[in-house]
Amino acid sequence: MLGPASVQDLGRVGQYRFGVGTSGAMDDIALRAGNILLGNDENAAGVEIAFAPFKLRFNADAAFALTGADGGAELNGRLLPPWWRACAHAGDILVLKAMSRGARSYLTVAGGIDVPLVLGSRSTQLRGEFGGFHGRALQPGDILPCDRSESPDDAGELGAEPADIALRQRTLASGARRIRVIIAGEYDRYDEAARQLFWHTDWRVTPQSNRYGYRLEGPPVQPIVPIEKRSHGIVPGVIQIPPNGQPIIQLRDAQTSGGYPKFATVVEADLWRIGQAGLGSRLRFEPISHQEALAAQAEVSVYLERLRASVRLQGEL
Amino acid sequence: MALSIRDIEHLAILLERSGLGGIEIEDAGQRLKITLHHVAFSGTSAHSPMNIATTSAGTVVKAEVAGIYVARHPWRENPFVQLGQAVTEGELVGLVKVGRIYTPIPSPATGSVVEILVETGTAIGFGTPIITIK
Repeated sequence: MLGPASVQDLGRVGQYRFGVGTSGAMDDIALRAGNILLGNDENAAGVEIAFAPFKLRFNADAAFALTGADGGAELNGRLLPPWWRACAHAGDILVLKAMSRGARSYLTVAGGIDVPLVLGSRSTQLRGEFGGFHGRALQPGDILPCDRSESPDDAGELGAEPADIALRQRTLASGARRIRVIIAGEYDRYDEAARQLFWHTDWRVTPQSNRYGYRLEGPPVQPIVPIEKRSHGIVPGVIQIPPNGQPIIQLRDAQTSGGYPKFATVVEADLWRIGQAGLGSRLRFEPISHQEALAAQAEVSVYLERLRASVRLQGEL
Repeated sequence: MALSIRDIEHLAILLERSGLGGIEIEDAGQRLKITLHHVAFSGTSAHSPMNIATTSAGTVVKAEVAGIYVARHPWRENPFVQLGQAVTEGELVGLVKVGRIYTPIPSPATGSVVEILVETGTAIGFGTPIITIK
């Protein structure tokens, strides 16, 4: 299990100086897409759902969207397509039956999940136990407040093209997900053999993987000489290699500092692909240049801009 | 007044959704008159009756927007409907992909799918017949 459901927005930025990490949606593109479908602010909070079955009842009429992993969602027993906006009536039951095509689904509602802003964000800070819904993961029986002041009352059903179709990567023969990275601080402390081992391994996502980080399994990658470093600042996406040679990808709920050597960093444009990699799936890292990383991020921006434009045009019809 | 066919289609859809029967616009000596001819349709669902034509052969579902016909969501194994399948009014029978979005094609009637008139991936225009339901 990749973790329970929690309230997340795009993250708590600018609080590193207090040792407070970003939190935020593991698949930020899916959260944005849901909010775009609903005409919300793209930073509006939604529910990140990392396990199924997940069930909720609407206590009021509401337009909502489901994006991210395909949860085989049913509204009152009617199967909804993935990446879909629909309207629920008070009393309607939404069920996500089983996760496929990804690991995390995002439920967004018109107006957003109305939890208080804490340090500028509605994301749940699980480590610090603040933000989100009472600073914790959701539990059965919780009633989530929704801001209904801006709810469009006549939003019909509408789908968005899933990000992994629009931003399709060439598939690897092994079936591993291709993740683009930039080499990091201690890369030059590994010899060519260790580097090639890292780049040519399909790393398996172990059960010790969650919002804090993913622990990967594969052949041990060792530096030329053991590396001892004091703790220093790290960001989501950093791939560290602890003494056992098994990489760790630090993610949204990671500590803000760490001391393990940093081999590479997942580019921002591919962080969502990590968020959608389930337990047991395999990752293949590919080094790219800073310029290529910017180009990858630009592709994400173009996808989101086209989605915004398509939804806007449809709304004018 | 420079109106494209697309603008007129948009106007027609807006009229239909507003429950209006027609509109006349006059500007700089030019005049545009749109009159909607409603087909017999009873039902309380919100979707537009414009996309329906009822004949003795059944009810033909027509495209409301121009785009690419999507018979099966790319993530799902099964198409929305198959020949012979029973559908209920309002049920999703397909999608039209327009840019990065998928607009739904709801079934205008309860019955069986007797004809699928276009292949998935086909570019369709406003009013293209897609499915016959009887």
